[in-house]
This record gives sequence, C-alpha cells and structure tokens, in this order.
Amino acid sequence: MNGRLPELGRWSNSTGFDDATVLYAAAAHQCFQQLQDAASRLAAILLLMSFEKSRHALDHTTRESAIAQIAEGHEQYRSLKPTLRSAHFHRHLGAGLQLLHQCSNAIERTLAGATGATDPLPILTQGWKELESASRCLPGFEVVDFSHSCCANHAPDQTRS
Amino acid sequence: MSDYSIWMLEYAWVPDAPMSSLVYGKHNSGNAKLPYCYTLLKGHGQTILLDCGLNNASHGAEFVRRFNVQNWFPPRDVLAEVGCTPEEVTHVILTHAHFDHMGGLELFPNATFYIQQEELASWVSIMAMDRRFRWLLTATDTGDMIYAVQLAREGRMRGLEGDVEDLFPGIDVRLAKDTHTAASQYVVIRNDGQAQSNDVFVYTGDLVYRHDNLHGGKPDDPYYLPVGLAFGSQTKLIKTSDEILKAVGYEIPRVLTPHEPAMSEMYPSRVTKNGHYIVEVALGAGQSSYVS
Repeated sequence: MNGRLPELGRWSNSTGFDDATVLYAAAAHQCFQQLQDAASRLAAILLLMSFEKSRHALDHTTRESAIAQIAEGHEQYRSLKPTLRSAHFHRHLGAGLQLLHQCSNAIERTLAGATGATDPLPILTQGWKELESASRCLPGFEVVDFSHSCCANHAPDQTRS
Repeated sequence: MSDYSIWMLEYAWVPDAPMSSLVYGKHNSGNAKLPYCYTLLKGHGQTILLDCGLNNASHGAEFVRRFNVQNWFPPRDVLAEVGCTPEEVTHVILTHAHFDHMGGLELFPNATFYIQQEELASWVSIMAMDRRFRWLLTATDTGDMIYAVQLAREGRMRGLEGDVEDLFPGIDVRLAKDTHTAASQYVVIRNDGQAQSNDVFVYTGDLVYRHDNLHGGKPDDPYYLPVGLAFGSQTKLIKTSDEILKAVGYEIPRVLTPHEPAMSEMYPSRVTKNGHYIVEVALGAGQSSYVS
C-alpha cells in the first residue's frame, strides 16, 4: 500500500456526504481493503487445512500475509475519525477487525495443536458477515472486487447511446 | 442406448459480449450473445451437474447488474424444466473456481462437489502475493471460499488430483493445467460406458468459449484460436483444445460448450417460458424427452 488515499470524488460527488465523512470514507477504504484481503487469506488457509493432511504444508506465506494485514488494518482503524454518518459502518468494521484477529489466533493455536483451540471457521464466518454489513453502510465498499472479474471484459460500453 | 441423459440448461445470458473476449484477437469484431448454462446428467442412479452457475443473491446480484447479465433464474426454475430439483442433484463437477461456475455452491444442498485440488491451492498461493497481483484472483468471493471450507469439512468438497477415470461410471475428468486457470478440468462422458467409446461427449467449462475456438471461423481449414481470457498458457490451452477434439473424434458438436449459443442448433432443443433454451443432447434408457 502506498498510503495515498483513493479519489475523494468517489464519495464527494454523488453521496451528499459532509466533508468529514468523505475524508473518513477515503481513509477507511484502505483499512477495509486490508481486512477484506486478510479475510480471503484466512479462508484460503482454512481451505488448505481442510484438504492438506500435513501441517508442514501449511508453512505458508499466506498466514504471514494475513497476520501482517490484520496488524496493518488495526493501525489504520485506530487512526480513523468516524462521523455520525459513518458510525454504523465504523462499528461493523471494528467488529470485523476484532473477529479476524481472533480467527487468526485460533488458526495458530489449531496448527500448534493446542488443546481446547477454538474452531476458527465460525469466527471467520462472523467476521466476514461484519465486513459485508459494513459494506452496506457506506457506498464504495465492495466485498468482491468485480473490476477484475473475468466477465468485466464485456462490461457494457457506457459511451454507447 | 445412452448411459446418461444429457441436457444443457441456459439460466442467464449476456447479450453483448465482445467477440475479442471470447476468441483471442478478434478485436473490432462486434459482440455476441454469451449464454450461461449448467449441464445436467442423469444416469446410473445419479443426478450430476457440470458446474453450478452463479447465485443471484448478495454479490451475485451486483455482478448481474453490473455486467448486464440478463434473465437469471434460480436452479429451481431452470431444473424444473427437465423434471429435476436442486435437492436431487447428487454431485457437481466444478471445471474451475470462477464465480460463474462455482458461485452456486449453496444452491445444491445435497450435492458433493469435485474440483482439482491444485485449483484451490492456486488461490492460496495467489493470495500470498502482493496486492498488485490481484487481477489473478478475478472476482473471488470470500463468502464462497468460506462455504467451501464448510463443505470440505462435511466431506462434500472433494479435491481431485489430476486425471480421474470413472469418477462416476463412464465419466472421466482430465486436468488442464496452466490453461484458463491454474488447474481447470474438463469432463469426458463415455456415454456407451465403453473404455474405447464411440459415443463420447466432452464438457469444456471455459477451456472453450465457442466452437470458433476450435476452427477459427474456418471449418474447412480449421485452426485453433484460444479463448480471450486465460490466466495460464494460451499454448497449453490450445493443446488442450486438440485433446478435447481428439476425444470426440473431431466431431465438434460433441464438444459441449456452455457459452456457445449455437449448441441449441446442434441438438433437439426448445425455449422455456422464461426464455432460456434447453438442449437435449442425449436420452438414457426409459427417459422421456423434455423438448419434443
């Protein structure tokens, strides 16, 4: 991440948001993307754990990436300044962050063979639902990046009359 | 007599897909209809779906809206046209892990799903990459992946390793590594049940989008043109096209391509009340027609 905020116009042009909310949305977008990517990585790890018999197969950089992204997302979340309009989104984002952190810890404990390790899947499922709920609170926060869809090749030409 | 009844069932379409997205290099060649289909097999006491489409709920609805996917109907409506319900589907063979082929996991509550293990493993590897590589993930829905984990735990998501003969009686899967995706697979249906079959169909998934990919628009002097989108090697993709054609004795109509609109002209077919086509490729013993 290069630290540059996405175009403020995404939120300022058509949403009617106040300036503070526009700034919040632009800053929160990076945090949201970090957590979105982290959730995908955690899901991928759980998928591998379901198939792979040897834990050595899971000595994988994906786990390190997820942990780093959650940590980065946590720092970004702490720096956010929510407004009245963005409070609902902020709450779901925070809940999602917390659950992803718990899921990551549960995965580590499971891989370490710790007794009484919590099942990470329900935690991840709930964490993902929190991110989905957040995405519905503010425009411009998509949990699936369709801009890279295989079918984006045939998106309707908006310039055609 | 055929071992399996085979139907190709359209469930949605895009009316204006650029030809260049379907056939590599066909720029400025206009647009074409891009149908979305399931393929249903019934035989040997099994009800098998080849790919499971996309789910219009949640993100699916956004996908449908954004990319002009029209006339989506749920599997309950589509399968009802051939006397089937989603609950009756016992197995789903997933050719690859793209949104429009495995987005419907939750819609078939009694099915076991089969995918190449390496296809799933490639997801994991790509996710370890820097965000700059995100194009490789191409609309992966984390919600689908989470559901796939649950299926795997229940024993309902099976990872296949390479070619498998007789995954079901007379049905083989063949790995097409490093082609449209990291580990796509195609389905070979030996519909007389013979090891050296004279009645072979191949379901391609996205290894072939249109029969144009198999003859380049020149059936009298054919040449292979790859699909417009591949995350692997185009060379390996067209070599796979040759394997597919060999398997069906170079009879192109036996290549069952879910995105080819002309499939409805090659076999008995009809249009449903919802405007979708049903293509009746084969009828098994005792099976009544759903198109005549």
